[in-house]
Amino acid sequence: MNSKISNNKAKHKYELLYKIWSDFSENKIAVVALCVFLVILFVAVFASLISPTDPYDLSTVTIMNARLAPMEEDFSGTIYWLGTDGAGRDMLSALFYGLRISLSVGLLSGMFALIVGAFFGISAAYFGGRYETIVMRIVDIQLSFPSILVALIILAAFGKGIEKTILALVLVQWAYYARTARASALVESRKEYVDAARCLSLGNLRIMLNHILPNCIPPLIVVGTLQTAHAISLEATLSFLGLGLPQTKPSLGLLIGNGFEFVHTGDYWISIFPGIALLITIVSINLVGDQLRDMFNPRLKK
Amino acid sequence: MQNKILEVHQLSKKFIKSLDKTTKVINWLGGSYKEEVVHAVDNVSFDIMQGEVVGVVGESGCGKSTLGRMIAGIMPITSGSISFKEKHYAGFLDNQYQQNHSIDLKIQMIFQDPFSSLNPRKKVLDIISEAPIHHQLISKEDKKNFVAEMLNKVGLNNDAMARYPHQFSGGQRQRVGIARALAVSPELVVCDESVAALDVSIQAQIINLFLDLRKNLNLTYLFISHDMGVIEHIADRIVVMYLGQVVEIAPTNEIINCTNHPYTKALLGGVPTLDTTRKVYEPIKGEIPSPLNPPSGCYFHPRCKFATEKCKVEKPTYKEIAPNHFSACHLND
Amino acid sequence: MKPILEIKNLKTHFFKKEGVVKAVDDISFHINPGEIVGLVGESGSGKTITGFSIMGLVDAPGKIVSGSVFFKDTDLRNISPEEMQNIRGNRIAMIFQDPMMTLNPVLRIQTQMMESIKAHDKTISNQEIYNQCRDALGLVGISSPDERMKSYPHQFSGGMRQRVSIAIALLNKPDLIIADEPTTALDVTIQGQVIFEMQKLCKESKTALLWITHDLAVVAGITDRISVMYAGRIVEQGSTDKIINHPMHPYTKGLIKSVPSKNKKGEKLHQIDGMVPAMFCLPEGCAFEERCNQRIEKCKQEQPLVTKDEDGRYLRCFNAGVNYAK
Repeated sequence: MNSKISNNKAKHKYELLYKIWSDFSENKIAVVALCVFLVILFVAVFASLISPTDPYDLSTVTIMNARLAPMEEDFSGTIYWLGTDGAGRDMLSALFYGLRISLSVGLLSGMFALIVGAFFGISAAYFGGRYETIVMRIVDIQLSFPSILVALIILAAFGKGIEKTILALVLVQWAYYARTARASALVESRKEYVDAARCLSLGNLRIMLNHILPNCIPPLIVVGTLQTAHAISLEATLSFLGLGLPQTKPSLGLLIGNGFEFVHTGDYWISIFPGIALLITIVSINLVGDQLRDMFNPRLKK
Repeated sequence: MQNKILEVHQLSKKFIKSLDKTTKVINWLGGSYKEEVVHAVDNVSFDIMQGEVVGVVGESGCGKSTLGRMIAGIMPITSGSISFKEKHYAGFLDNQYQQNHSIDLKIQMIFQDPFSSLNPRKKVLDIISEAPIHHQLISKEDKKNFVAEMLNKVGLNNDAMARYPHQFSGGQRQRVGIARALAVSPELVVCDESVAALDVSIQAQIINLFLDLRKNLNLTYLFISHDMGVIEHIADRIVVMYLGQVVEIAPTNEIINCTNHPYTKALLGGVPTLDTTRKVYEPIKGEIPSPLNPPSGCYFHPRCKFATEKCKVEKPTYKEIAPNHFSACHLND
Repeated sequence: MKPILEIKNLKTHFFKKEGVVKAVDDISFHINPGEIVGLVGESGSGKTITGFSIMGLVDAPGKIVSGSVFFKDTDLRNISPEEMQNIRGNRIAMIFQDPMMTLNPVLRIQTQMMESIKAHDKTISNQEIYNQCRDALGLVGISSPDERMKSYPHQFSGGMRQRVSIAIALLNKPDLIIADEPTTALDVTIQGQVIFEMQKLCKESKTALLWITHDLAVVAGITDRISVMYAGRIVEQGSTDKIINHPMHPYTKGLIKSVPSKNKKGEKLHQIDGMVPAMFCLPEGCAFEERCNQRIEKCKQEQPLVTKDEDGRYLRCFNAGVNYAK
């Protein structure tokens, strides 16, 4: 057989990445959003290296610097770009550290929720029958409650703390992943290559992990990005309310919450800047997720 | 003397759509909703001899694909039995969870749609070698050589190994599917409309490949198709199905020259051929009935030219009307 | 007799990111009034795009690049969209492989049929339109047409839906019907019925028919002339009898010989080796050269020109052989 039959001389991996990038970059806004998110990610990862100060190092923080407005100087001449909070901590540094906490909680909980959700969704679609009905009913029931309510109930039951917050977020989010995974897996399970795998006696677990799961990944990635944004905003809400993360690990939500009392006295910067950072993070993730979803939607293809 | 390789005995498959809770309540209150039952395959019996090609032909709703899947072990049966080389395996009955079952891989299947029958995320190398490695028929080191050998058998180049399904044409994908099935050394191959989705010129290539493989590897085929022309060419015996039932079984030349059942006659006569003397078609009238609501008596009677009163009421008996020639028609009584 | 449709040097190209696909590359043929012509080709041959080009249904990134499509005396490429709208569905009708492309699943059959007439003739009364529609259904063999008029498409089987599409196509008594694989998706016994009816109806109403398909056997029985397409070009054209019984182009010969009924039972079928070349990189010379068993040196370098003989046989081949006897 002629090998010039296939015109794709490039290796499949790079060709695929190139195609993904060219489809993605058709929407300029999404590209901008992606760049913004990458900057935020960079900041979060290298927070300790690029922060001007360590806001949680008690030896450098003094109450004398409390509530300085943005761009004000303190007695030693250091400029605080975004001002300081009620305890004298540099807002910019607090913001960087806060981004780190918010992002890691969001991403970590998203990852666990994806694993749990995909497991239940794919196995429900594959086995069908009563098992599928039970799992999907639980998913439906859970999704009919507002996510904040479910999270509050779980935190009320288990108490505060970083692990418990992540647990609560996972228990809220798994249902979204399960639903998407099941829809995708239903389509894949009916395809003939799954029949072929059964014919070859490959074993149910192997078929689900090796054959069905890889083909369900695109929609899961889309849900993953959108859900990560959702998780970050949910965690922010919980922290703002004083539940969720402890004071020693302030996420953006907690910073907003802490600064809330000062808004009335005109020291807006203590709440607003974390709020803006949160907004930009969530919007950029959502824009990237929207573009990913449009890319994978075959009906929108020309 | 040929050995019997497969025996299908009174095999049936029913699809039941049971009533949901609401309709059950309505029934309890005096309504009369019935469960919807489709007899996809209804009491089918036949044998396949070693080395034979048995063709199964019929139109939509006749159950030939369902029959093929039950024989290949990927669909549970409702009743009846299937035996491979005297060993009864009968798939598994409806009320058990689906299991993967393929009589030690001796029965394999080639599918219809070359586009969905290969996993788009796996390289050809993995597609073909996955099952033999999993079942420890070959070792991981031998993977490449083994796959090269398989590709060679189906007429593909070695460089196909590193590619993904979307880089191939329909005919080539079908070859990969055949290589995947052959990788586990089956004895009986079920071909479910395996050439229907291919262009005419590629169809000929794949049919020739099947003929070659049969000779070289001593395979037995159950060839399912709606295309009488292809079946006539490749099959030794033909099974004609209509709405889940077998209406006629006979060796190919008997089916063509001494056609018995009116439906078989319609299938043979109503098919366009390369005969340019513009013939007037004698198509049979009527539509294929819905499997949910089959006609009474003989299923074919609404469309049959020779139908009598008896045909409307009584089911014809399936019997041997000549050596090795079976048919189910009242006209034979 | 003046042809009702005359296509001259039509080229329809698709401009994609990866390159230009010459889906239809310089084809010419004609259809006389009342004639049934078959356009035969496999996937990628460009036959469907030809049908769409005639109807003006080619969407971006495709474009008719050059050539002319003369319907009666008008070049369909040079008229305004409104004029084309007048012709489409009215003087030229199209039937698709999937009847659900013609039928709207949420409208009753009667609504769709009556709409089709009303769009082109605003003067007739509703009752008259209804009668015409009901008669059309009867004509295509649908029993109890009054009941059927009120049904939705999903209540029909595949064969009946296709019959309804045919009825809709015939409603405005068009001069030409383009049928793109109309019976391919139907069961064998239903296929026979539909072919028979279309043949009868076209002969009775003297409507010209362009039957596009990959199945030579279907066109052998009902067409007057056949055109064979390969990789966007017509490689052979002529009367049905000549093409089927005395084919000259190596591709046509190969196609006919590979049909199972033309081969001895149980023996290997005659096959055409290789595959259709990828449409992005068609070769310089003849597109069929790689797979041809009659090729000569010239075939690789130049594209064969069209030759016509006295019988009206049109051939694109350097080496088809001069003897017409098989």
